[in-house]
Amino acid sequence: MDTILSPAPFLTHVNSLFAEIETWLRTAGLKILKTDIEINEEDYGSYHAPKITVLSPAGTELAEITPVGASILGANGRVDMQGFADKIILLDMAAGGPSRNNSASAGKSEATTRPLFRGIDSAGWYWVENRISNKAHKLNSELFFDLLAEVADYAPQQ
Amino acid sequence: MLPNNEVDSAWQAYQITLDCLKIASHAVFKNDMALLNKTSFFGSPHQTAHNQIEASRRDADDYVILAMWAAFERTLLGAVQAESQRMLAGTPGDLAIAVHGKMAHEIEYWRIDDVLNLFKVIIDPHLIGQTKQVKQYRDWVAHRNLKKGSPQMVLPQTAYRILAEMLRQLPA
Repeated sequence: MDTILSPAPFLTHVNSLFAEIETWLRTAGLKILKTDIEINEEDYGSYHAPKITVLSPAGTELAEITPVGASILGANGRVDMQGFADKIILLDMAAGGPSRNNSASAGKSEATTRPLFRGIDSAGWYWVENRISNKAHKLNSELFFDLLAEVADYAPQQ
Repeated sequence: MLPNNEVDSAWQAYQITLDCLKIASHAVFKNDMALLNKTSFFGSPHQTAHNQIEASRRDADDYVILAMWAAFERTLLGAVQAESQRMLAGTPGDLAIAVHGKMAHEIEYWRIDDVLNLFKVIIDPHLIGQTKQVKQYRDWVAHRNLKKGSPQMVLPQTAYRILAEMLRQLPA
């Protein structure tokens, strides 16, 4: 019989992420609107998660930051940030991130483990470059506003 | 960067699609009539156009998984065919020729998980396992059963990294 797992660790991480984002946004004079969404995953069943909408000081919608799920190959969870111009994906990664072994058959020596993405030194939320590079960047305030500019073409007044 | 294989080609086409959708989003947002003229966006409400572009982006994320898997599967089966061809090296007996003929005829019908398992003797089983997860997600994208909920999701860039690594490790 299939066991339904608990999405609680994912929701804890999402709540921590959203608390940080809220602090960054308020410091920049931006507003947020919190709502609730339902997620349905084979491993976790149906559950509720918070979603935030980023608003300009004038109340214009800039971006939606939406949890997508906890069952993600190579990550512990995913949150999307969608603006009018683009969408970026944030991944909840364990330290080191997903890896691949670089040798042939097990037991034939010289097996080396290489990370699938570079730059995942500690656990946390990461944005992975979508181009030729396979570099992951840990989310911080500066990166968050760079990503907001990317998806919504918006930079807060300093 | 020039594509090395069909998986690379699908990946690069996806990148171009994302760029085109981004340009379209900007054109809609900025009411750039020079760009929007003679497109279906012309005369659409902003929100409708935005929703259509967003839906196309989601579709692009799905289609690239399907396209990369199709290209990967062809290459994988080609590698097995090439390996079976080696059975005919030297002076093969009648039985070897018969076995090879049957394999060559039926290989297209083998379960892909079984084909992948063959490579466990030369490729890390963990990578093979990740590849099977890409396949599982590809199947869900293709047949989407919303009642069941989504299986473990695979990002396009994760799928690309896994399939590209598999191709790199396949025998030449």
